[in-house]
Amino acid sequence: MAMTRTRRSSGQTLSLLRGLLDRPRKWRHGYDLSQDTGLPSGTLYPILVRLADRGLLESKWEPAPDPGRPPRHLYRLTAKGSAYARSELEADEVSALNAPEGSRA
Amino acid sequence: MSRRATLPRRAATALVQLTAAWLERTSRGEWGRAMRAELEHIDGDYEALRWACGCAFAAISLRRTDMDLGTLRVSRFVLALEMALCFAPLTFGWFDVVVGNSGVAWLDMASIQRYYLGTTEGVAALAKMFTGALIGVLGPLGLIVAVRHIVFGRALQRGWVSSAMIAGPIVLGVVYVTANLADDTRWWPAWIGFYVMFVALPAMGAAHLLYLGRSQRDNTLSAA
Repeated sequence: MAMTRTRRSSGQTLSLLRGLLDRPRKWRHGYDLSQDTGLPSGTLYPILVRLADRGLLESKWEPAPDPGRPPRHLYRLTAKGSAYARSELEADEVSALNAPEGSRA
Repeated sequence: MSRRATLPRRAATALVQLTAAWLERTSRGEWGRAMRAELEHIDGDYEALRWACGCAFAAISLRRTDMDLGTLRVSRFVLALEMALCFAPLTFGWFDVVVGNSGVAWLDMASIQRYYLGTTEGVAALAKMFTGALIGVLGPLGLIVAVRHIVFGRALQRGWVSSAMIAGPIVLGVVYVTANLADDTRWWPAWIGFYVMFVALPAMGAAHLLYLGRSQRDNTLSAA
C-alpha cells in the first residue's frame, strides 16, 4: 500500500530549490548558491548531496577554470528536479495561504 | 595559491583539506573535492574560514547520515540468520520450560507444595520456571515478528509489543540473577551462556527490528 508523503521540504531546502529554479538551465557554483540563498556551507552541501542522491540535481566539473585556480563543481536541477521544485514551492505557497492569520511570518 | 596566506586562510585551507581527505575515504569523495575547490574562489579570509568550518560540519553530517543508513541495514538472508540466532534459543528454552520433562504444564499444586514451596531454593526455582514460561513466549513471538518483517515487509511498530520484546528478556535476566543468588553461588561463570542466549540476543534482535522499522518509516515519509 502506498503511503502518502507527509514530510515537506524544509525552509532551507525550499530556499535552495527557489534559487536553483530561478535560472533552471544555468550551472551554478556552490559558493554562488550559498550567497544567493543565504545558506552556509554546512547546510548547503548536505541538501545538495541529498538532492543529487535522489536524482533531482546534476553536477559536473567546470571545464575551463581560471589560471591557477582548481576546477569548480557546478550544479543545476534535472528535469525531474525542476518539476519537484515547482511542486514543492507551489505546495509551500498553498500551505502559507491556508495557514491561520496569526501563524504567518 | 597566489594570495597572501594569513592565519585564517591557512586554517581554512587545512580544515577543508582535512575534510576532503576524510570524505575521500567514503563514497562522498567528489563532494570533498568540490568543497576544497570552492574555497580557492572565496576572497575574504574570514569568509573562507567560515566556509571551511561549514564544510567540516557538512562532512560530519553526511558521514552520520550514511552510517545511519549503512551499518544496521543487512540483506534479508543475513537478517533471517540473525533473527534465528536471536530468537530460536529463547523459543527452545520456552518450549522446554513449558512442556519439557519438568515443565510447568505438568505441575500441580500438590507437587508445587511438596517439592518447591518448602525451601528458598525451591521458591527460587519455581520463580524461574514461571518467569521463563511467561517471558519465554517472546521467543516465538520474535520469530513471528521477524518473519513478518523479512517475508511480508511489515515492520515492527513502536508500541507495547516492541517494548515488551526489549524489556521482557531484561526482566527475565533480573529474575534469574536474583533467583540464582538465592540457590547457586556459582551463577556468574556458569550462567553466562544463559544471559547471552536468553537475555542479550533476544533484546538486541528486537531492538534491531525496531530500528529497521523506524528507518523504513523515515524513508517512506521522506521519499519524493
